[in-house]
Amino acid sequence: MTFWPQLKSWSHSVFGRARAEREMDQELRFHIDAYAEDLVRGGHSQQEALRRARVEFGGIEQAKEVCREVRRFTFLDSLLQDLRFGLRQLRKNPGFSAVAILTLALGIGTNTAIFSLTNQILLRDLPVPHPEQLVVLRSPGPNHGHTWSDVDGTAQSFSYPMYKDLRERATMFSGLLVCRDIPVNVSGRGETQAAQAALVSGNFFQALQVLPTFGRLFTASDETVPGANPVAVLSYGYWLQKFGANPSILNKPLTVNGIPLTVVGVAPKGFYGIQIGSTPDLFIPVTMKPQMVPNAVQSIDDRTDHWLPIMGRLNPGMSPARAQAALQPIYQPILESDAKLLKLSGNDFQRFIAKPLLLVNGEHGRLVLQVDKQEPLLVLMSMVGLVLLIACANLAGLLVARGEARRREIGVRLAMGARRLRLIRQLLTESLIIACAGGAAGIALAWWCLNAAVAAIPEGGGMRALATSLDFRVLFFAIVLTLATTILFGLAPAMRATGLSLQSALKDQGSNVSEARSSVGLRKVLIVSQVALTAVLLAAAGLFARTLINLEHVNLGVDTGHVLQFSVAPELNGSIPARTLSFADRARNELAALPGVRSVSISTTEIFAGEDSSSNFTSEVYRPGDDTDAMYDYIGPNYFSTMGIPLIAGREFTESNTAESLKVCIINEKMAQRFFPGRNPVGLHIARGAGRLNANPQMEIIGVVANSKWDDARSDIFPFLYMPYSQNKNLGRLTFYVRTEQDPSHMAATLRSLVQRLDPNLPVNNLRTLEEQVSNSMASDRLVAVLSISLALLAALLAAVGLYGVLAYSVARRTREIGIRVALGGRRADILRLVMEEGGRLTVVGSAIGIVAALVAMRWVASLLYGVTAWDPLTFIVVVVLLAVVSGVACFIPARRAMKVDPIIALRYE
Amino acid sequence: MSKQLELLQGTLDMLILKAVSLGPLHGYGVLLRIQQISKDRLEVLQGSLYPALYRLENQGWIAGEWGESENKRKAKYYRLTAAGKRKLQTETEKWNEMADAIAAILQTTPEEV
Repeated sequence: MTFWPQLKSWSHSVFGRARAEREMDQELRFHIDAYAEDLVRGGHSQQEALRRARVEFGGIEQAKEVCREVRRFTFLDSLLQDLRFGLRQLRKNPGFSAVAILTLALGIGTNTAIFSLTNQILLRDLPVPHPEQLVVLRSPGPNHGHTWSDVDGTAQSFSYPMYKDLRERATMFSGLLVCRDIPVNVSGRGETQAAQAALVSGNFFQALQVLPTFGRLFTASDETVPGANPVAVLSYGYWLQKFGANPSILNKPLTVNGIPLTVVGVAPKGFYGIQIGSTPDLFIPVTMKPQMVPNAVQSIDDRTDHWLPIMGRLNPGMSPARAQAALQPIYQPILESDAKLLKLSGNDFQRFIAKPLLLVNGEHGRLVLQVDKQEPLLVLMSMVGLVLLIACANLAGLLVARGEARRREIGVRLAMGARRLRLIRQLLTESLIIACAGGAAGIALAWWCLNAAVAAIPEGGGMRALATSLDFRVLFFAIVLTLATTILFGLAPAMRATGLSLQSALKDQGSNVSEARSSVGLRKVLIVSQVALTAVLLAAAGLFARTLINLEHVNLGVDTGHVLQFSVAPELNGSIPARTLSFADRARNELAALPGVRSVSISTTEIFAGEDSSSNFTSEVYRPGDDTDAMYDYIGPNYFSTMGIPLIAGREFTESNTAESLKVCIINEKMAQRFFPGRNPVGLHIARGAGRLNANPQMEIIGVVANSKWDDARSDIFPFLYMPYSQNKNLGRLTFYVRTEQDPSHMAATLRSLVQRLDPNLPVNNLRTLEEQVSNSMASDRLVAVLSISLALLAALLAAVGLYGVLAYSVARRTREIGIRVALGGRRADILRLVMEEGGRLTVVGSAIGIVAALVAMRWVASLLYGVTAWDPLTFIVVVVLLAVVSGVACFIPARRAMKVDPIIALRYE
Repeated sequence: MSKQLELLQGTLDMLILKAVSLGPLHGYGVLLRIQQISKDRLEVLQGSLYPALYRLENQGWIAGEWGESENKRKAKYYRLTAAGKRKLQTETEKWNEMADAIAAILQTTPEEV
C-alpha cells in the first residue's frame, strides 16, 4: 500500500516525535560508524577514523535540523495545499457550498438556541454550592384558613409559625429556609419604581452557602420579631442597574413601600434565590412582612395563613428518604396542635393530621416556571432534534452525490500518480471546510435565534430573566455530530471513489450503472427518511398553526380593539383602601374627560394575565350538593360597556353604588344557569361562603352579563361574580381600561402623564393595549407555532433539494438510456412519467412513513393543542398535499430535462 | 582521488531512487552505491543525503524499514515503492529528453543554424 509510509511518517511527526528523533539518531550514528569502519579497514587508526568520519559528514546537528524540517514541512505544506484547493473547489460550486453550509447552520443554530433555552429553564442547578443537598418541602392535603399558592396545589405553602416550629426541631437539615417573592415600590431616589422583593428567613444566605459581593448578608439576628428588622440586601443586578455598582449605597436607607430599610450588603453576581425565572431585586427579612405586604388580613404569627415556601439543605450524607422518614414524627404533633387550635373534629380532624411532609429534589430550585414551559420546550427540542437529523441526512446526500460526481476527476488524478491517502485527505479537508463554515454560520444563527426567542417572550412570568447566552456544551455537541456526519459521508464516497479500479472510473459514467448503484440506494434511503421527518415536522407545524389561529379567533367575549390598559398599586406606597378608592374615582373621571376617550373603567385584577380569585358563593335558592365555586373580581362603573361585554338583564354598576350603599353584584350567564337554573336571578340574593346562607352580608344581584374569558384565550368559561370596587374593603390595586376613539397606542403617553400628575410616586405598570395583553397571554403558543412552521418549511425545502439532487443525477446518468428509448420511438410523455414516478415513489414511501410516525408522535403534544385534535384530518391532508406539490416541483425540473434529451446528442455522449 | 563533480541541483533525488531501485540499501549504502556506479566521479555531500532520504520517504517514493547490516548492526534499509518506481521512470524520461535537448544544442555547428 502506497500510503503506508506517508501515514507512518505523518503519525511519527504528530504522535511519535520522540521515537522519530531516536531513530534519526540511530540512523546517523550507524552511518558514521560504518564509514569509520571502512576507514579503519583502509589503514586509519580507530580514533582517527571516527574523527574523520564526523568531519566529512559535516554538521551533524545541522543535518538533523534539516531532516526535522523536511518532516514538518511536508505535513503543513500539504495541509495548506489541501485547504487552498478545497476552497477553490467550493467556490467553483457555489450552489453546493451554499446549500451544504446553510443546511449545517440550520441544524447547528436551531439546536444550540433551543437547547440553550431549555437548559436554562429545565436543566440548570441553582447557582449555590452543593445544590444536590437541597430539598423542597411539600405537604399535600387540606389547609384551613388562607392559602397562597403558585404551583403544586396548596402543598408547598406553610405558615410562618409552622416554619419556625420545623426549623427548631428538624435536626436533619443544616438549614431550613423560607423565601417568598412579593412586589414592592422603591422610592427615595427620585421617581418611585416598582421592584421585586424576596421575603427571606435570617438564615437564608447561610443555608444556601452564599457569600456577599460586599457588605454582609443576613444572619439569624436579622429575623427577630415582626417589624424589627428594617434591613435589605440588594441583588447584584439591581445594584448594578439602579446604583451603578456604587459601594457608597452601603448602610444608606432605601425607602421600600414607604419604610426606610438600611442596605447592609449586595448578594453575589448571578444569585437569584431559590426559583429559576424569579429575579428579586432586593432581599428583606421575613419579619418585615407586616410592613411589606400592605393591608394583610392576617398577622404573620397566624397559624392559618399559609404563604411561605420552605426549602432545606440536608446535612452532608443525609439521604432525602431518611430525612423524610425522620421528619414525620416531628411534623405530626405540630399538626395535631394546629388541628386543636382550628377546633377540627371527626373526619376533618383525621384528614388534617394525616397530611404527610414530603421532601422533593431541590437541585433545580422550586419548579414553578418549569411547570408551564416544560412541555412546549420539550416539543421544540424534539423538533429541532428532527431538523438536525434532516440536516445531517441532507448533508450526507449532498456529499455522497458530490463523491459520485467526482469519480471521474478522482480517477484521472489517481492515474496521474496521486496517492490514495492524499486524495482521501483532500476530500476530507473539503468536508471539514464545509463543516467549519457551517459551524460558524450556525453559531451566528443560534445567537440570533436565542435573542429572538427570548425577545418574543413577554415581560413578566419570569422568562425575561433568562440570560441570552449560548450553551457551549450544546454547541459542541451539535458541531461534533455534524462533523461526524461530514466525515462519515464525505469519507465513504472518497474511499470508494479512490478504491475503484482506474479503468472503470475512467470509462463513461453513463454506461457504468452497476458501479454507482449502491450509492444511489443510499441516497434514496436518505431522501425517504428526509421526507418522513419532514412530514412529521409539517404535521406538528400544521397543528400548532391551527392552534394559534384558533386561539386568535376564539370568542373572548371581550371587545379588545381600541382599549388601552395599565395597572397601579397604591397600596405599595402605603395607601389605605379609602385613599385608594378616592384615587380610583378621581383618576377614572379625569381619564374619561380626556379628548378621544370614549369610556373608562377599572378592575382590581388584570384580565388575560393568568391571575384570578375564586371563592364559594351561596345563593338563596341553594340546595345542598350544589356546586358553589365561582371566580370573582371588583370592577368599576361602565366596566361592561368599556370592555364590550353585553348586558343580558338588569343594569351595570353606577356611581351610586358606593361603600355605604346596598351591597350588590352582577353575575355572568354561566353563573346564572348554574346557581339559578330556570329563574331570573335579577333581584335575588347571594352571599360569599360555602353551605347555607351564612353570616356574610348578602348581595343583591342587579344584573346578568354575557360570558367572557378571564385568564387567557384557552381557559374555560367559569361562573363569575362581579362586585363594585367601592365595596371592596381591601382595595389596593387597580387596573384601568380606557376605550379610545382612535388608535389607542397614541394615548399611552397622555395616560402616563395624567397618572403622574395625580400621584407622582405611583409607578404605572403594564401600560399596553388590550390586544397586546391578549397576544402576550399566547406568547408560548405563538413561539411554538412560528418556530415549528419555520422549521418545517425549511425542512421541506431541504427535502426538495435532496430529491432534486437524486433525480437530476439519475437523469444525467441515464441520458444514454433515455436517448435510446426516444430513438426507438418512446414517447416524451412516457419519459416524463418515468422520472416523475421515480421521485414519486420516494415521496410516497417517505410520506407514508412520516404520516404514521406523526400520528403516533402527535398524541404526545395533544395537551398543547387547542380546538384541534392530534389526528386532525385536514392538517394531515394539507401535509400530504404540500409534500406532493414540493416533491412534484423537485421532480419536474429533472424530468423535463429528461424529456428534452436529444437522442442524437445522447447517443454520441459516449 | 580523481576530481569529483558536484551534483546538479535536483538530481540527488533521482540518483537515490535509482540506487535503491537496484536493491534495498541503508543510507551509507546509498552513498557508496552512487559513488561506485559513478566510479567516484560524483560527490554526494553526506549531510544532504539524509534530508533527501526523508523527503523521498515522506513522498512515499521509498520506504524505510529497520533491518540488520552486514556487520550485524541495526540499520534502516530503504527500498523503492511502486509509486517510486513510476516516479523514477518519469524522472528518467524527463532527464533523457532534457539531456538530449541540451546535447543537441551544444553540438550545434554554425552551418546547422
